[in-house]
Amino acid sequence: MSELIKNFGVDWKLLLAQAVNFFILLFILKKFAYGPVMKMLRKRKEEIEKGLKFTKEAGEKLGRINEEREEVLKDARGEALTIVREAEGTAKVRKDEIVTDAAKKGESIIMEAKRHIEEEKAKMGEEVYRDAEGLIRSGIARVLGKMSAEERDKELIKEALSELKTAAK
Amino acid sequence: MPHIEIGAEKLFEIFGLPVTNTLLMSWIVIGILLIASLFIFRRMSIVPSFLQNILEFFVEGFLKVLEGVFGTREKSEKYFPIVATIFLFVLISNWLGILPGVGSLGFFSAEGGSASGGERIFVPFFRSSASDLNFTLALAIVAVVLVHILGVAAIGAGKHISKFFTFKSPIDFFVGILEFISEIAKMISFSFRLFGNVFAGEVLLVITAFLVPYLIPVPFLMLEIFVGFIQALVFAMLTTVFISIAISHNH
Repeated sequence: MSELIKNFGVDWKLLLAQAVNFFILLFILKKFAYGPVMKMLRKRKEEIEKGLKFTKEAGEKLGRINEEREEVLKDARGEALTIVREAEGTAKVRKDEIVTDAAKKGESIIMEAKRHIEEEKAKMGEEVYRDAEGLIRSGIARVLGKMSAEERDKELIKEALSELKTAAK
Repeated sequence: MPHIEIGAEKLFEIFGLPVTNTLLMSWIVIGILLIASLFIFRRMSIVPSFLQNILEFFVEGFLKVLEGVFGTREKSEKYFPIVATIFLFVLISNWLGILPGVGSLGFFSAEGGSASGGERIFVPFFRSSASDLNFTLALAIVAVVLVHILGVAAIGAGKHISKFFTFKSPIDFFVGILEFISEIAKMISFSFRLFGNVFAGEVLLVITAFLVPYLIPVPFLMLEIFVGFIQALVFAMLTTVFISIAISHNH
């Protein structure tokens, strides 16, 4: 047995050295090769999964947004139509109101104007009478001044009597 | 005739440790792998470069193979470092052994064995690590011990030991004893398989190069590249299978 071991050159020191070599290599590779590679592979896998998920979500979101937009547009169109229709209705009502109002107002303005004219006319008539009275009085005074007193008296008495007569009646 | 030595030749000694040409070779392998991993894996980016892509392809492929044995990606990632280190260590040292200059650069030693009758024998500086039983046996012991440590870590010491020593039934008892012996056999088969293949390859190359120096060794070199890969794969895959058996509950 020892002869065999010697023939193969087996030496416990060398065995230990080679075993240590293995563990050194294991440590080196774990630290500088496997670690970084594994980390990178895992990281890339995560990134890709994240990217795919994001893409899927974005697609879904886009679809939803499009649907929503369609709906909103449809709603808006319907609303716009109802608003226009309503506006037309109110406009018609308002138009009628305005027209009747205007007619009423016009009438009242015309009436006012007529009343005004009447008043003015009456005022003017009174003024004419007032002016005429003065004129007539001065005219009469002037005419009477030329008449003799007798004649004037006679005339006045006559008139007074006739007045009395009418008043007695 | 070229001189063929089964044991590795001693080059010099550091603090009582005899440094053989195979030990020197494994240091070189470690150095190459260290430099390579420092250069390649330092600049990793999320968008891989050409080289990084190729490397990741191999890593992924290896992980897939392990997944086929272990069943889950999680376990495959957990035991990947050990298996991959065994694979790379064996593969690179096997392939380095084929490089020109590995067996041919050296010096003549005055202290020839008694068999050569004082004749000066040629001692190469470098020799494929796995053509030394020290390397393969050390790796085999490490692999088998690691298998048991991982087994204990995965299912607990009691359960793991009960695979070998059990008193449930006489049949189980004897099967357990056989299992225990097979663990020792595993180390021996591991080490001698790799050693035999690589050493035989070395001898084959030396002999063909000695008989016909030109052209004829080329197919043998190709064969050795293939053998080097296969042996590394066999060692790694057997370790994988043993780990997967050790971490499983039923035996």
